[in-house]
Amino acid sequence: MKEKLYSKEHEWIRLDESDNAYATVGITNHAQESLGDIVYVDLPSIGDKFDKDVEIAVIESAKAASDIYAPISGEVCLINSALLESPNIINESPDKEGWLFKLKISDVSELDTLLTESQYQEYIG
Amino acid sequence: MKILYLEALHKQLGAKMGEFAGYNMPLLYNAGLIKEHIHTRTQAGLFDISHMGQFKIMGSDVEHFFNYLLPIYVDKLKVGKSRYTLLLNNQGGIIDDVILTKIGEQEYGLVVNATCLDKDYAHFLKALNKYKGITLEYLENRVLFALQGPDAESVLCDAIGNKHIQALTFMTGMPFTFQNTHAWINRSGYTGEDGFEISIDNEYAEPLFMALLKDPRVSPIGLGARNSLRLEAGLCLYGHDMNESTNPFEADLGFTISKKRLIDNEDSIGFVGKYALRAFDSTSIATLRVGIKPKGKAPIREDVLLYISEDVNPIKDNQIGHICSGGFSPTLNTPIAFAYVKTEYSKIGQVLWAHLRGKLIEVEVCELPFVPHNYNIKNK
Repeated sequence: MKEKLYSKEHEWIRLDESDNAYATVGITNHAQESLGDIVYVDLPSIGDKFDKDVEIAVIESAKAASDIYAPISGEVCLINSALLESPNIINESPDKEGWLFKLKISDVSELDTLLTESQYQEYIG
Repeated sequence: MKILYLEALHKQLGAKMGEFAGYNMPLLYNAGLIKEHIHTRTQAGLFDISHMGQFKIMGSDVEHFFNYLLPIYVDKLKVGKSRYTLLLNNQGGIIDDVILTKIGEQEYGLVVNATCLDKDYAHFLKALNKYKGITLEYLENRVLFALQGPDAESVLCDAIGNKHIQALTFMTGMPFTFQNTHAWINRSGYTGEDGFEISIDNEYAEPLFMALLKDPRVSPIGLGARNSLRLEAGLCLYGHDMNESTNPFEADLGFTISKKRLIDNEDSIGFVGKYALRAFDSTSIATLRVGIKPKGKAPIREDVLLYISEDVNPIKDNQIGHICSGGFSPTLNTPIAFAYVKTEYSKIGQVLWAHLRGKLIEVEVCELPFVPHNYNIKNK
């Protein structure tokens, strides 16, 4: 499993084992803890193109809606449709089964702007 | 920011705190919003709602005082009985929603919203100019707890060792002794479940809270679940579902007003807002608060606008309502909301469209409450 990289908005991104051009995106355990019980996820559509830092999804928790931002630029090629029926998977397994979508990376250099595991742990203190 | 008397205890219990009405309040505990909500509907939830304003009002003129302030016949209230009613302004708009309890002859308790405490108090002081011989006491050294759910009666009987509470029906109360202090229990609440609201001196707050919490059927519940519970129960939240410019009939709160008193021409005192209210009635209002059930799973929250047609261009033309409270119903596992809509679109089953994040989502007007009430209406 490749190492994860993190955004300051508490998203993680993990490059695909087989093909560096693709990556999976999710939210961190820290994010799901502060959101509380997740009741709905508004995911992007396959084919949607996003620039880094643009709002790409919305996660609704019992109390409020939270915007999720694209950690890097890319094109959505797969979404986690299990979340449509069971959004709470994100609370239970934010790092694995709770992945949000996969994207095709448009600018690999943007990965350098993200935090490593230890940098993220330090960031969340 | 103000703090609850039991703040340290809530933190010890794992509460995540947040601001509400100028108080640092427990929003949720370790279980989380959904589990706390379901627990209250299936067992017994314990809430610390001491931020709410508690008043004691006594005196020979007290009935006249309340008949002046409230749109009901206060002199008809029997000892031990409570009424949910409204404080109105001169235009018939809602200053606050309150619960009045007759504690004894010429002695009343009043509970008001924390967000309205200061303006309610100013409103009372103005009225006191008209009525002498009344003492109005703000009970700042008392806590207020709510114990709600199907197990509430049994839990309370066991905890305070008093079986008399079994005889209490909805909106009735009684004094009780806990350790060696006198306190008051009302069979009422803000969740739609059977339950009790308990007022006791600060000194006895922790022993009582812990005596209740010791029962394995009881869990502490935060404000987050309190909000989703009241939403399912169709109950209004001041400042969201009504404010000073809301007419009670528009808010679907006509039941809080005595219709007889409204039209009574022999009523020598009159209540604040009476003549303004008479200009409206349930047939002449322009908008109405209704229940809304969105199609699909996306919660639709406060301020979202509603339209009559899916083909809106430009959007401003067809707006016929707005959401005033909205969220997710753990009991029904769907989103639910209240909205004010133009009365011609307020019929049950009316399909409307909510503008959410650039898309139009289909919603339907539905009956309130979303979840049936379980009040203890009759004696068993």
